[in-house]
Amino acid sequence: MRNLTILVFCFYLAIFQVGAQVKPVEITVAFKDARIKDFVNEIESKSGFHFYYNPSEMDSLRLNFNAKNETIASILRIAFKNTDFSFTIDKQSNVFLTKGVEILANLPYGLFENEQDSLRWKVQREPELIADLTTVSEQGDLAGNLENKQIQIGNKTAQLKPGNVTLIGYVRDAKTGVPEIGAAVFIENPRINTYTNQFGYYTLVIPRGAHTLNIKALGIQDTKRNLMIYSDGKLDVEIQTQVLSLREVVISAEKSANVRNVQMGVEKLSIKSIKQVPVAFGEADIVKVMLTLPGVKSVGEASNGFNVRGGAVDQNLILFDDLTIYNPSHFFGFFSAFNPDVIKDVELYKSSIPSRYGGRLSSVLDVSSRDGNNKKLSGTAGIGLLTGRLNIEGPIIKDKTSFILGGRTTYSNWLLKMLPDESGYKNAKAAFSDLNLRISHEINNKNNLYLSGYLSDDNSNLGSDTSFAYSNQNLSLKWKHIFNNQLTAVFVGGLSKYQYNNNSVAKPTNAYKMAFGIQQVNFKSDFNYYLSSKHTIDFGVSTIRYDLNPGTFQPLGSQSLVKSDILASEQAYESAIYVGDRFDLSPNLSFDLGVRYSMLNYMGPQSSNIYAPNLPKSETNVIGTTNFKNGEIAKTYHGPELRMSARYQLSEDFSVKAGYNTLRQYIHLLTNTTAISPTDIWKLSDPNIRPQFGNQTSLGFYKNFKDNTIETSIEGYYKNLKDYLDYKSGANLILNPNIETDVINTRGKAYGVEFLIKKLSGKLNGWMGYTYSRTLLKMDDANAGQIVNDGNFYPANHDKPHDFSLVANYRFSHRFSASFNTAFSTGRPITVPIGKYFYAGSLRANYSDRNSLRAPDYFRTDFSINIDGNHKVNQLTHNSWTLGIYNLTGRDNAYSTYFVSEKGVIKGYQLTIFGSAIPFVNYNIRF
Amino acid sequence: MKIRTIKIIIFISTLLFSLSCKKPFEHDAISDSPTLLVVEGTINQGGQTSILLSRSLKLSDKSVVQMEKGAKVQVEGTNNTILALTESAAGVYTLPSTTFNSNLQYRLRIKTIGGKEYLSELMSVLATPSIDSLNWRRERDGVGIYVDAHDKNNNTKYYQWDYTETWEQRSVEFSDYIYKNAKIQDRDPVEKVKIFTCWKEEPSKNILISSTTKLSSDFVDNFQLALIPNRSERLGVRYSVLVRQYAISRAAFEYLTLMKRNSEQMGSIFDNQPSDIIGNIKCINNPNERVIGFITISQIIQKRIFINNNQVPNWNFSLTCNPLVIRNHKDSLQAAFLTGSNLITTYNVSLSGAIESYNGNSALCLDCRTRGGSIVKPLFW
Repeated sequence: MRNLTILVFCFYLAIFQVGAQVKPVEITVAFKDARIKDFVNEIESKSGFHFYYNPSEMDSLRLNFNAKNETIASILRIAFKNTDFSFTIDKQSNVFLTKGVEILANLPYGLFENEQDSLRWKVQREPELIADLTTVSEQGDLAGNLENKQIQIGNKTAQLKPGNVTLIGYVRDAKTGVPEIGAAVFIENPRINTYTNQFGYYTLVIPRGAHTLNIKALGIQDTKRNLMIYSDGKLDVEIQTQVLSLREVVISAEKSANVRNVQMGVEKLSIKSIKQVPVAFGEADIVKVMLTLPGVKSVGEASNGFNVRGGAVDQNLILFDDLTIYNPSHFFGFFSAFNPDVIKDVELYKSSIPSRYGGRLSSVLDVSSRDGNNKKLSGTAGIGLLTGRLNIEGPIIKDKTSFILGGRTTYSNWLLKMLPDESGYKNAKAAFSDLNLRISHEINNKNNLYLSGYLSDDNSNLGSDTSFAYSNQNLSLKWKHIFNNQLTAVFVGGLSKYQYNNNSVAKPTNAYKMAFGIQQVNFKSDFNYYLSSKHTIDFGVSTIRYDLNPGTFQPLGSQSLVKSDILASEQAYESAIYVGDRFDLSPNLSFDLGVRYSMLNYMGPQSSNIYAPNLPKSETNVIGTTNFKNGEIAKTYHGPELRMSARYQLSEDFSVKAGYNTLRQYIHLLTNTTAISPTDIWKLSDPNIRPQFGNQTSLGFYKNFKDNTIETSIEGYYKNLKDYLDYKSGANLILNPNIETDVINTRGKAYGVEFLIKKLSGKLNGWMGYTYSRTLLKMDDANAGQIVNDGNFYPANHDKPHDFSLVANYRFSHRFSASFNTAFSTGRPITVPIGKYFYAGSLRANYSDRNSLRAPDYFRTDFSINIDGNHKVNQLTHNSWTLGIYNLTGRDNAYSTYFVSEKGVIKGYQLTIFGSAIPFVNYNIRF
Repeated sequence: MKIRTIKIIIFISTLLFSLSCKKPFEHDAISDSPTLLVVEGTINQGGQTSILLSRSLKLSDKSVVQMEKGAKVQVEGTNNTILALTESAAGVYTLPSTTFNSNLQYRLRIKTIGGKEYLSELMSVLATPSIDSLNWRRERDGVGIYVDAHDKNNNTKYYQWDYTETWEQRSVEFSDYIYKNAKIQDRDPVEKVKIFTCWKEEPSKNILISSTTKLSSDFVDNFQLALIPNRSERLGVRYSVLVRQYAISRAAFEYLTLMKRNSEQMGSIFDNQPSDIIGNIKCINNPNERVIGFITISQIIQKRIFINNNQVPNWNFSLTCNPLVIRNHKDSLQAAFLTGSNLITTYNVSLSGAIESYNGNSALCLDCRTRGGSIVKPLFW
């Protein structure tokens, strides 16, 4: 209070007596064991200066020195040298003595709006307190103090030059050192803002002078820094996570990004919000939570594949730390293969896909893992009904290198062992596990390295019969380099592998092992060039080398008569170069224009059939074979892809955006089942299989309410798909050397409108979405040999016109919250019998046109409560419980319908995956 | 090779505490569908040919086969030979044993009574290897019937089978008396013996096909044709199965695979949706009209085996019977025996010598005809 009075007092003096001159007074003094009172009295009597101080703070001070004809300032400097006392002299000959903190007698020029013309900045007096550092780092300091301190950036100059400078730096968590992504970094006047990138790095071009730099993001305490900027410089900011945000929904780190970003159709979920959505068995599941967002659907509960805006399951690029994941599911699709404990956040691009991504038509799901805690060793462990999880993280070199290691495994095998003998599954096993390792290393403030490894493994054996095993293996090394304040680059090299191995020993003479594998080695570099506050240029190149083993079928055991069948391996290069410019034409109108040129080189050794033109591709129409040698290019496909979006901001919280995208896809998942199954294989485009091509036009309106706490949006889209692969009836997709004879190029169109309301904060938070959409396919190529539904458009398997979802979380207290989740959608299209006939002794069904009818509507409600242990900081472990019920109403949602002839009678059945309410419990500890 | 899809779903549901389930599904939006011609049969090289013509039914129709009567059916060879089939029973068109020239191709032409004309594609005459063995094995779930075959020339590749099962049925006792005209009378002694033993015949109900294309040699090893479930009546006394094996073309195999998949193998999470496939018969008048069925010209090889009850120890077949003792009173006897659901075996005499009561039992246990059997003993028995 006393300090405040002094400050206010100074303030008035400074304003009203600006012109007063202080005459230099020189005095001679001598002190021996002088107390502060004596010291002050002596100087006051000799100089006419008046001192303000707190005697109790300074009563232990003893002064011993002599000074002859020195100014008051130099006497004070000598007196308080090497002590924690500071002094300030104002223009009215008042001296303020303080302990620890220093008083600014002059306000930095430019604090008031009428002072902010650059001419007058030149004559501004130097501030009395400066941090004479080009790079300011804040380690060890409390951010609260830092907020009040003025920080000098650049070398102090007596006169400020006009013009702009570039300020760069990292925003990091003070406790864990984890970079804060997507935090808004801005100055108010003039309003210039940016967001931290995926490394927590920001670049801001602002005028020289005094500024208040604000850093805001959800989940952190808003903070600011008072800056005095003389030249280009770097400022790392350490932020405090908000203690209150323990169970807060964080849908987006960007409070008003919804309205301000140029991109549309981007959904970002933090792991916190993912973890609080109730799911079956309480296993936090990224993909299942994604399904609650508008425009994202799946055919049913047992499928981890998902469909974005009418796209097929294989049209999603699923990236985990920059590398492709080919099968994102465990356990035949019941769980997703991402361990929630090591994930930082998940971003889904469903409309404007940035030009740095490519290779799939519908969406990009970018999952990134966390950096380990670089301050201290810690970890979490969790136990649920089916899985156990453990992760450990900590520094290798404090503040420089950290690691995070996470693992997850099932112990469902013990459950199977408990089954009675008669069940036939006594010897069955069902196991899955995944392992993540990430090492982050800061070489220096311009170079960072990240090593990321991922391993997922599934192995299920149905009794003594058939076993299914599949695994994903990824390893990536990422180097981030800052060339200068304007140019940053990221280089990634990596290896992804996906393979499966299925064995059957049911009959010794037919025992087989069947395998498939795909491996990709990729390299990419992404550059980000901050040209000016109006232009940010992204550019880069990437290349992927694919090695694909399309399938092997081999005998197992000596009795097996199985003929070994090994399909020739495939190899290809997929390369791309891109450039994009994000620029602001005016404060209200911004564009993000990008172009990507992609190319596939399908390489030899390979032999491919030549089919007679204008005839169905069938074995009878083969007119020759071309053989390609090793290293020879068998076929090249290439073409440009446009990525364009624009935003017009009508007001601070209302904007309109439009986008147009074209995309190409060179790799296809061969599946004719409704869900991803453990025998589906990937196939590269080759001389006989064209790449898929898609385009999307979209338009959206975004409006925020109540200080950006409520976000609403309406987005509409229209999509065209060309050369989408569908299959002939009875197609044989596995081990088919001439797969082109069994596929049909299909055309597709999808359109829809999505409504979304999100409430980001408050006791009640969550989101609600509704989508109306259609996805229609058309197969009318007479040369295909088979026409589906007379060549008319028919609904795709995942065409569910009405789709509603609500995710709500209510926080009763810091330790107790409840989550509620409900979903409704139109039943999926089905093909059903419309007649019956007798054949081979049985009554059989005669089916309708493909997908002409619908399964019953889908409805599900889930509920969970989260209970945290106490929040005392110093206890050894923190624990929490999650209890919940999946499918609260116990509704039997039809996953599929089917008809069988049983004893000569046709019976229709619907298959339900979770036909009753399922309680679950999860226990987590943090240490 | 085939994914054991149904097993997977059961397996997962067992693991996940039997959460998934199936329940009946009904859809009222099934529109009126046209009735399609169904053609079934194999033109038999060197044996009697039977072709069955029927019509598909609407789902709401009673599930009774509706044979297509009065059609004109003929086999045409590329040398312009025409062999007309005759309708031996309603919708069953037969051709006496004929040897087809394996260097020629043949097709089937059908003219229905409704005036429509159907024609199959031209077919080559397929040779069928002999059945190496037809055997059976006692298993946990019953008795499995297996077939082995091979083609040393590796030509056959695609096999189809069907079979007819025949088994003997016996009543538990003789029925000595008959309730007739409100009186108990002696049963005719010939009839009394006849209704004690019957023979029941049933055709196979599944599409039985196999391919050896994934094997290095054309060997069909232990293909399971049938499974006689435990305690089944089939092995109550004596059982016989006649298996017919015939080679089919790849197109026929694919057609039947799909038909089988559409109607026998659905119901797991990885199943694909049912889909259309077109057979090798087309309607000349209306090319868009679907015709169900795939016709093949092939040599039908037959083999029969017998299994006696004493070869399968502890089979434990038993009929559920309901022995009765009915007081010799007009009303009681009428109530018990008038409808014919119970038959009379013997009577009981009181100390005075009068018939005090009659013993009876369910007709199922006394008259084997009520269990669907025929009293005519098959020639091969």
